[in-house]
Amino acid sequence: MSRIAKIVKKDPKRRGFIILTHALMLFVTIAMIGLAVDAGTMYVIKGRLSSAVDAAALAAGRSVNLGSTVAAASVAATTTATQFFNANFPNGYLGTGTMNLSPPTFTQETDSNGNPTGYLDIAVNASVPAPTYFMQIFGIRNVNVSGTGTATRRGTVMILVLDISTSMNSGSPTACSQMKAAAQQFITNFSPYDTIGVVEFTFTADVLYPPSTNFGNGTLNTALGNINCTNNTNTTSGLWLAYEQIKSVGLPLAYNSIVLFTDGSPNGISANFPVRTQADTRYGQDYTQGICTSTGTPCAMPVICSGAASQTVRGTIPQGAGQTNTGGTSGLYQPINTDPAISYPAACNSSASGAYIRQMVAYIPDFDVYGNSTHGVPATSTPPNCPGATCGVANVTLKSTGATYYYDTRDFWEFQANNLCSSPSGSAVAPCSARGNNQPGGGVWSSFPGGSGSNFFTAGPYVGYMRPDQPTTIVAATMNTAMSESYWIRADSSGCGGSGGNGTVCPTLYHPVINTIYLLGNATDAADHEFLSIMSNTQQIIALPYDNPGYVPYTNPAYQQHQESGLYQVTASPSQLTVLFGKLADEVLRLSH
Amino acid sequence: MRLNMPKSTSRQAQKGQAILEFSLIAFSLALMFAGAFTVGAMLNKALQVSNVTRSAAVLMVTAITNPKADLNLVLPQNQRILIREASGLGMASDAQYDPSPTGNGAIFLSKIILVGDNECAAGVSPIPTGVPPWSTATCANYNTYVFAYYVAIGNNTRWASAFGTPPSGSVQSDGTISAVNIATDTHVQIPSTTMTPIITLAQSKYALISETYADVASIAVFGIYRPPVIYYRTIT
Repeated sequence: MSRIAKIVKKDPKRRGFIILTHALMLFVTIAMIGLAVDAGTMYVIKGRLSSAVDAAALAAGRSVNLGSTVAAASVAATTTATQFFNANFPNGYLGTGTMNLSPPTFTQETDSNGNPTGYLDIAVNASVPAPTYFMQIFGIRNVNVSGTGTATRRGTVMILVLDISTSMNSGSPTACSQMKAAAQQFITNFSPYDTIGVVEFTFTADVLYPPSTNFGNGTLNTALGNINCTNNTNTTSGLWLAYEQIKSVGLPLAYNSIVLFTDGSPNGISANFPVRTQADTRYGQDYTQGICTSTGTPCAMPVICSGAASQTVRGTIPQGAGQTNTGGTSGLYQPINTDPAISYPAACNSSASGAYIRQMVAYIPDFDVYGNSTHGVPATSTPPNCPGATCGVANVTLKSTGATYYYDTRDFWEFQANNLCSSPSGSAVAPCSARGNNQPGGGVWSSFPGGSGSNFFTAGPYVGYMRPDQPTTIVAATMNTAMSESYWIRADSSGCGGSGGNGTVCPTLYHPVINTIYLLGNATDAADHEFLSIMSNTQQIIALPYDNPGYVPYTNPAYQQHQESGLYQVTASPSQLTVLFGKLADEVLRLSH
Repeated sequence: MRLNMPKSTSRQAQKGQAILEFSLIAFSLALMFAGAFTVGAMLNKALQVSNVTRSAAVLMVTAITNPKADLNLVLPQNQRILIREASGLGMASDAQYDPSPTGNGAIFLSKIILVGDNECAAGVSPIPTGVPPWSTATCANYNTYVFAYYVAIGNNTRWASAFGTPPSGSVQSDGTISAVNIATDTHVQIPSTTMTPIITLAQSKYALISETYADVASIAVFGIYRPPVIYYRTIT
C-alpha cells in the first residue's frame, strides 16, 4: 500500500477537506476572475467606443460644409459621423449588441459674458450593450457601455472684397462674369456655421451682402450674380469696410479672413484733402477752361477757394483715363456708400469738381481718411535691387510731421504709359515683358523713367507734398494706402476696445488674415510684384505669370513676422479664377477646421 | 468556539493529506491563473496598443493641421514620444526609446484623401485649357483615393499598413505628399476596393488613419496559449 493510501486510510475524516474548501472558494475565485475579465473586456469595448465617437465627432465637424443649410448640414454630418463611427467600431465588435448612435449636436461656444467666440462644439453620443462571459453566472448577461465624443470646429468669418471696376468687363466672357461665377462656386465650400459677407468696390465701396450664416439659402448667390462691373478701384475703402464687417461679427476665435480679388492696381485715394487757396502751376484744366485749356501741359491754375488754408474736403479722387500726367481725374466721391454726401467748402466753387477737381484740391495729405499713410508701410528688409530703378524701399519724410520712415513705398514710382500686360490669352506682350520681366519690385513700374516726373510738387507753395493732378501719383498714393490698410487690419487694434484705429498699437483680437487673388493682364493698370504679396504678408515675393523661369523669388521687404500671413495667388487667365478660388477654399478649410 | 480537530491524526499525516489534495486541485488552479494572467495581460496590452494608436492619431493631427507646431513625425526624436508610451511592447531599440526596425511592433500614420477639384487645382500647374471641370486626363488622380501623408514607425518590414505603402520617393522628408504628387502621381493611389469596405469619403474629404501592430507572444504562459499579434486602428 502506498504511503498516500496509508495516510488516507489513517484519517478518513480529513479526506476531501481541501477539495471541499477549494470547491467552495472556487465559486468566489471564478466570480472574482470573471469580474476582472468581464471588466477588462468592457474597458476594451469602452476604449474602442470612445475612439469611435471621437472620430465621429471630428468627422461631423469636417462635414458640416457639405450642406448649405443647417438642416442639410446636420444630415451630412450625421451621415459622415455614422460612417466614421462604423469604421472604428465594427458592428458586433467583441460580441456587442445593437448600437445606439445619436445624431451629432452642435453648440456655439460662448465666453464668460455669454458672447459667441467663434468655436462650434460638436458632440456625438453612443451606447452599446456589451456582453459578459463570466458574470452571466450571476444573471448579468450584458452591461450597457456608453461614450461621448466631442470636437471643436473653428468657425470661419470671411469677407469677400471684390473689385468690380470697369476693367473687369474685358474679355469674352468677361472677367467680371467669370469672377462672379468663381465666387458663387467658392461659397459652396463653407457651412451654415460659417459667416460670409461681401464688400464690393468701385471708386466707392459698399456692403453687397452683410455677413451672415444664411448665405447658403441662395441670397448670396443671387447678390453675386447681380454684380455690375463699372467705374474705378478704391481698394483701400473696400478693405477698410471689410475689416469693419469682421469686427461687427465679433467672433475673436474664428478664422477671420478677408479675401481680396482685384485685377490691377488701385486708383482711388480717399482723404480729407486740403483745398487749394494758393496759386501754383499744375496739370489739368480749370473748370471754365478759360485759362488752362489742356491737360497735357502744366498750367498756372486759377485759385477758386478763398479763406483759410486749413479747410478740407472729404472724399475720393480716382485716377481716370490714362496713367500719365495728361490723364484725367475725377471726384469727389464718397469713399463708402453710407458716408455723408460730399460737402464742398463754401469758400470754394463746387463747379471745380469732377474733371476739374485738380483745381480745387491742393495736395494729397500724408494720411488718408482711415489714418493710413499715403506713403506706404514699414519695411523690414531691403530687396536685392536696392538702390535701383525699381526699388520699392526707401526713406520717406512726411511733409506734415518731418518724420522719416524706412518704408516700402510707391512714392517714387510712376506707371508707364505702355503698361499693357494685357493679353487675354495669357501670353506676354512686348511692353510688359520688356519692362517687367524678372525685375524685383516694380515690374511694370519704375522710377521716373522719362515719365511725368516726381510724384511731389517740386516748386510752388505746395512743394514737397504729393500731387493730386497726376493720375499716376493718385495710383501710387492709393497703392501705398492699400498696403497700409492691410498692415493695420492685420495689426488689428481691436484689443483696445473701440478706441483703436489705424496707427494705434493694441493687442490683436481677431487675428485677421488677408488672402489675395490677382488677375493680371485683364486690362491695363497692372500691379507690381510686391503689392499683393505685401497685402497678404507672404514671406516671399514670387514671380508673376509673365516672368521668365529665371525669376528668383526674394524676401518680402515688408514682411511682418508677428502678423498673420495669407495666401497670395495670381493668374493671367480669367477662366482660372474658379480654380484659384478653389485652392483658397482648400487652404481656408485646412486652417480653420 | 473551539475547533474540533481530529485528535488521532498525526501532524505528518495531515501534511501529506494536504499535499495530496492540493496536488489534485493545483493543476486546475494553475490553468485558471495562467488563463487569467494571459487574458489580463492581453487586455492590458490591447489597451496599451489602443492608447498608443490614439496618441499617434493626435500627434498626426497636430503634425498635419498645425504648421506652427513644426512637428515632424519622421524624425526619431519625435517618434520617441510614441515609443515611450508603447514601453513594454518591444518597439524600442535602446534606452532612449528610439524605434527599432526589427522590434515587436510598428505604427503607421496615413492621411488618405479622395482627390477633388481643390486638390487638382493645388497640384496641377499650369492649369490645363478647358479646366474646370477636372478629369483623370487633366489630373491623373482625380476622384481617386491617394495618400497625402505617410509615416511608418518601427518594424515596417514585418508589417505594412492595411491601405498599402506609397513609394518612398513620393513621400517628402516630413511625411507629406506634395500637392503635385497628390494630384498626379498614380503611385500614391489606394484602390477603391481597399478603401470602400472600410469607409467612403466625399471628394476633397480626408481620413486620418493610425494603425498599430504589436506582437505580444512574450506574455504567453507555459506555452499553453500563444496570443496573436494585436492590430488596432483608428480612423479619424
